[in-house]
Amino acid sequence: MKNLKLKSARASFDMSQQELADKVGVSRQTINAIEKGDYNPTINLCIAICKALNKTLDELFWEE
Amino acid sequence: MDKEKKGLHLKRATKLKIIFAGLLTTVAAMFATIYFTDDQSYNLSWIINVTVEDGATDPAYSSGGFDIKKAGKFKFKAQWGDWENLDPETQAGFITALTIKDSAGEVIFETTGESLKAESRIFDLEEGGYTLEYRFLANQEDLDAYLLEHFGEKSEEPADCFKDGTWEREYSLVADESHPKAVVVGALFGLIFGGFLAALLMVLGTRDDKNVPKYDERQIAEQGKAYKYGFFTALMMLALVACSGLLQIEIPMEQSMLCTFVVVVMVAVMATPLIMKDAYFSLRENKRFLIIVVGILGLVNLAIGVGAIASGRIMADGKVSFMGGANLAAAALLIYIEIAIIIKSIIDKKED
Repeated sequence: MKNLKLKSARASFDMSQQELADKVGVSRQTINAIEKGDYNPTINLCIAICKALNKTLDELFWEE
Repeated sequence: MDKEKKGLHLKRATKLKIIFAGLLTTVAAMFATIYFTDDQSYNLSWIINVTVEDGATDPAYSSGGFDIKKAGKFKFKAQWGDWENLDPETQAGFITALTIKDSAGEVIFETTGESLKAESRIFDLEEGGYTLEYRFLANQEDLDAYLLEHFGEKSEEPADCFKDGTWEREYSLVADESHPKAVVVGALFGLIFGGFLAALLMVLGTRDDKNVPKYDERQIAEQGKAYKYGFFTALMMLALVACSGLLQIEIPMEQSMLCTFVVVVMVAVMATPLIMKDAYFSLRENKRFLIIVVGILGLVNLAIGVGAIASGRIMADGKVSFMGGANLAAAALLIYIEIAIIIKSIIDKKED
């Protein structure tokens, strides 16, 4: 399932996938895979992404 | 949250110094081994005019000899006639039988043929004198008698080459000292040198940044899947090889070449999902540098492989040999990886 919340949060910071990936310490393709719903990140990676985008886990990763 | 990494962390400059020291030591050891390995080689070559008339040859035979100065392991390489063009019109009207004997009169090596280019197995030869005799056979009766005496059986089909005439033939015999252990030592040096070279490329092609992980969690997960595919591929191929042995189906490859082929296919199967799922290159690697290096290595191996085909070294006794085949296999693998990386780059650009 696509993660549109992550994509819009990243866009609100005017951040590219590569920039977010560098900040979090993963490859650009990993961020792309998470946004497309092709990969489920571990809790550690989720937390790192939330810290980088100044959001909570619920705001980015909770399914509604 | 950064975890403290365990292990020895050397500076890039220190790593490079260790690698260069290793490369120089390997090269020096290799040259020292070559220098102190003294090879003997004995070359006998002469031209004989042979006349065939009514089933008899003149001369009936020609003989010579050589002295081995120091005992060792030797290979014989015998050559005569137009062995590349077996058209009966161009072949001589008789068959030559070569026999090599030691000083006690024991037969060491023998072979026959209208034209011939052959290499023997390795023989242990003692110091001393050896004689060689070329006997010329111009009728079926003499040929059968010779074969019966020396090989225990007549030829399956009568020879159709016998005819009257005079031919000038060059007969060449080379006895080369062979060092099977040197081949193993040489291969070992090659592996060690290759290892240091690979380490050099890894250091040059990688960013020295410990804050960036080598592979992220998704890449590690994809690697696990890829290794699994590679493992089962190797398992299936080895099972097929085993079945071919049981069913006595001959695979036209030397044993070492067959193992190389299995490894190459296994690595190709493993590399494909790694490249397509972006788990091949680590986060610290300089992609462009490594793509160039892989391309160069592929072309170098291809050149060596093509050279082996052109010189005839690729085949030995009707089977693909390791000496030329391994380079071709390596070239195929590296070029395949290069093409896969290029295709993935094109797909990525389209997605961007």
